[in-house]
Amino acid sequence: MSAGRHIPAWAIPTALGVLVVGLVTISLARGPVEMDPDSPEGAVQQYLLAVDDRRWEDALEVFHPQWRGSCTADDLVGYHVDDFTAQLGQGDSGMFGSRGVDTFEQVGGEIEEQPLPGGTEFIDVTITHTDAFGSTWDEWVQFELVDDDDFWWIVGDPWPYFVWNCR
Amino acid sequence: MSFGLLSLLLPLVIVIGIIIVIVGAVRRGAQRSGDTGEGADLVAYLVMAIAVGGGSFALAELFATAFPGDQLVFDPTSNLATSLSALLVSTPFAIYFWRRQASRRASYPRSVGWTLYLTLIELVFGVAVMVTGVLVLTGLFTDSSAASWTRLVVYLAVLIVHELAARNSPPRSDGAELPTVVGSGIGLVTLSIGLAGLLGDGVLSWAFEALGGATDPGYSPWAAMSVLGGLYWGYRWWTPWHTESGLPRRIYVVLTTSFALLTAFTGMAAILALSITYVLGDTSPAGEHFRSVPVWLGSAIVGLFVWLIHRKDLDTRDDTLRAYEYFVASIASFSTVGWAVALIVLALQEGQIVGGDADDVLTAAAVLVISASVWLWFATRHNLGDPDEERAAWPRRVHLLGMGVILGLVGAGSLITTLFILISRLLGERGSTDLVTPIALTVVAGTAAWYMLSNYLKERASMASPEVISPFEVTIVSSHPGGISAKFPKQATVRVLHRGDGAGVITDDLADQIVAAVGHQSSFVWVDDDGFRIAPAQS
Repeated sequence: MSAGRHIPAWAIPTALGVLVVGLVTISLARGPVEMDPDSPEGAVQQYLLAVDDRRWEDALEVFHPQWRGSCTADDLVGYHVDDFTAQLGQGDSGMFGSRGVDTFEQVGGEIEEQPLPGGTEFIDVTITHTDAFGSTWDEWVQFELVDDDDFWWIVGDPWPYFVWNCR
Repeated sequence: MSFGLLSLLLPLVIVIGIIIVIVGAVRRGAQRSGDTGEGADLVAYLVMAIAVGGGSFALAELFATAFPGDQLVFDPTSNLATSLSALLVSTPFAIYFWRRQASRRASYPRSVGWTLYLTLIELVFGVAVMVTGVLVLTGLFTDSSAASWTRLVVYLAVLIVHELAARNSPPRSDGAELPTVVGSGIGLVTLSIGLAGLLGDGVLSWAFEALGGATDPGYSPWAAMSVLGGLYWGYRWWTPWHTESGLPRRIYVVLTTSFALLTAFTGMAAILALSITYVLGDTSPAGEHFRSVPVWLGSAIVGLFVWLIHRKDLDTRDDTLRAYEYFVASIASFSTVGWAVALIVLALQEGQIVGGDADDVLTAAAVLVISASVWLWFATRHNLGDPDEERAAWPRRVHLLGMGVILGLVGAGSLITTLFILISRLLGERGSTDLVTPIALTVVAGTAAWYMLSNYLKERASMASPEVISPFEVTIVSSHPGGISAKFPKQATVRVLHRGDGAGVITDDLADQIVAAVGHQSSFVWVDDDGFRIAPAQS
């Protein structure tokens, strides 16, 4: 006789229930990680949190003025994404899926090259979109940042790709 | 009562109602169907697979929400709502059917539903473990995030739970090895891609770069795929089998051996074509021209490695070996037709503004020669066996008839296209529609189809079809019947009425004549000194 038959009938559902309650509690108790605002990852987080909260001006604050050109908060409004979360690194789609359209060149134009004032850093982020029915899909995007005046600025045409339309 | 509470209770009531209805229907169905256990469990196992699969993915999503890694923007509500809804619906079904089917397996151990259920779980969660495992392992050694470890834990747990259940209650239906075969396939494909990448994109690219070639070596995610695929394949394929080699394992061996060999041939053909075009054609510098060689060489080496391992399982000349040979021959014949058409088009088509240079012609010619050689080699392997047995073997008949019909349809389709273009031109339609390609396809595919079908018909005609004989009765009147009874087929009922006068002795020659004259019809046979006479009788 197998050992499995000695397990009481209520044990597995109970264990599963306890596990689910525990996971839900952990999920609700935790928040996003807090990155150092002076780091490249921190700059990206500031930008994404501002986009998520619809604080358009704050989002543009971490965008390098030299690259921002004539873009204003109104230009970003039209590209707002309703429901998303963002995770550092390549998620499930990163390795086997394709990267999202993250450069202006790929949508048919060319942004004028700007002289880079300092070091450059690329940050991979996985954006997870959720639709009205709860299903999700991932998009792997990359942010380019430059170090200027002891601050990491986002440059290029970052997700959700609005710069090409206003520069 | 607030609307919020109502909106929570209403879906719950609906879900509980659906569960009660389905459970009741399954119970009533089992009682009505006589409950043989053979096939009656299929629906129950299908519901169980959906419930276990849905619940497991929901649990994995819940784990990923609780341990999300470096989350820059975090909003767990949507994920929690989705996961909890799916768990709420699927878990009761999963638990109920798990217990129900466990007790039914004790009564009906040969039910095919358990085998199919385990196969489905192996397929879905085996692939899930490979994908998430590669992500996690790669994330440990690169800058990318290793956030999927929680999903890997859940998927691996699902596989382990089912492995333990399968050991506790092994599938005993026909084709019971199917789940293990599917697992072997998942591991082998992952391992092969990983090794090919590790060689082509990694080691060989590095060597090529060291020799002055223009490449960019890389090892991710190939190393992770090689390790995980190797472990999974090793566990599934190299652990002792508890069943005799059945149909699933034979199909697996045929497919893996065939595709491995074709992969090796493709890699070698590409390298040969590159070499010929470099020597005879007008090409770029060697470092640039041969930059794809590491990739082709890597895939060729891995193809040969897999082929060497599985070819050993085809050591006797039976239908499994023939299926392998004719499968390769079929693919090679397609390739031969395609490249022959390409070569004709390159040689004859006018006004081509892109392509059609010497490199393309040389490449097409080289691949055509290789394809045709492979086709002829494998299509003539029947010479090694007994001619009658080879002609009657189903792989050869399926190959000749199937390829003949398919290529015939291709030829017919291209003939229709040719006629359409010709008639359009006769009616005054002006256009630059290409005629070379449809004509070439008609001629080449039609010739190949004719070759296949004529061989098939010739071999079918040459095979002695066993005559169908209905039972019949023969009554023989003779003084000395000899051994005539033994000369009739087994369908004959022979009665002998002995004459007392000594006339009508049946010799061996006479017996043969009588049997031939009776011709499997119920008859009376009168034998005397003048020979024999036959009168038909009603059986």
